[in-house]
Amino acid sequence: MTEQQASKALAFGFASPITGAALGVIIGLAIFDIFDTFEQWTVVILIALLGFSIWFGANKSGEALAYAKKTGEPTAAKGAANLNSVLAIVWMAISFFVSITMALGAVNSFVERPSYDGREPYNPGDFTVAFDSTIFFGEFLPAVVIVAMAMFGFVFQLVATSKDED
Amino acid sequence: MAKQVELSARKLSINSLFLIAIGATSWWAITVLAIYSDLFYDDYRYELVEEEAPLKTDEPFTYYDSIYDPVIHPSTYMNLTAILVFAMTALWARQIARRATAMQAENRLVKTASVWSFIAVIIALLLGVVFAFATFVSSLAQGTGADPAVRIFATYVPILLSAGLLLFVVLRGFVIKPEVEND
Repeated sequence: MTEQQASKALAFGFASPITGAALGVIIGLAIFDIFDTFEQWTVVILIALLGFSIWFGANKSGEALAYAKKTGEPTAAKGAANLNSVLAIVWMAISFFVSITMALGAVNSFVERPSYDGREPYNPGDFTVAFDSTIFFGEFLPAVVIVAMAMFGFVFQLVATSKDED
Repeated sequence: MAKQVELSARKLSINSLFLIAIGATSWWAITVLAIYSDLFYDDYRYELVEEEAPLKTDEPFTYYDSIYDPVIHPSTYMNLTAILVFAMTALWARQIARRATAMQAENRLVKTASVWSFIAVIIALLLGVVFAFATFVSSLAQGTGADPAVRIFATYVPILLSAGLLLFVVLRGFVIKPEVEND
């Protein structure tokens, strides 16, 4: 790796998570404005986009850090690697929280209560739990995808930021 | 030779991090299953009560009265299983990370794996404490009228099992560490 490539990698290391976050916010807003709804799969795509941008930034800052260690010159590579590590932790924690909230919402959506017309006394114990494929694929599966993405994506991000000995 | 040791240390560190991820995902899955199972077990049963109207010309007033009748929730043991799975994978990850540290302590990835395996063990301990405390607090709400069998298996046994798990994790994680081979 040359010095020019190292500085390019460092630039990508800082720029990638910022660009990814901005792009994610813009896409999310655009989807909400156009379709007037915010589906669970949209959240999956936005979290994936943000995760990928952090992973890419971590990868590039890891490369810059490896070069800095080899040459012994002080650069901002360590700062970029640390920034991406912190962002990876925040991304993982938020994704995990979103996934568990989404899964609990989906589980509660499986409960079906009879329509209450106001004449009969309300019975809180009168409900059935029925499998609904629309809820499963539309609400529960996105939560599973998010948690898997958060956990395993986080490992890839950590590995990407720790390239100093390559 | 040094390069080979470094590669092995990195591989061990990656395995350690993946183990933590597998443990956390398993915890998530079992916890969601436990919450789902709770839909089928209710501590209350509802009985239709009919009361006379104040005026004789009116119809009698009916409503469902909730009667507290606690049952043993499988979710209690499922939650404990989730913590057990996470704790075991965290301990295993820590053991692997220690092996990697013995090989090459200065590697950044090895340090990362070591730190995260330590954090995972601490999180497992916290989850165990929260579980035991939540079981204790919810048992206070049950009062003293509950069936003794329900009381024992819904409160005493889970708290004892949780305490045993915490003790095992603390001792295995920080005191009785398995010997690390220096390759």
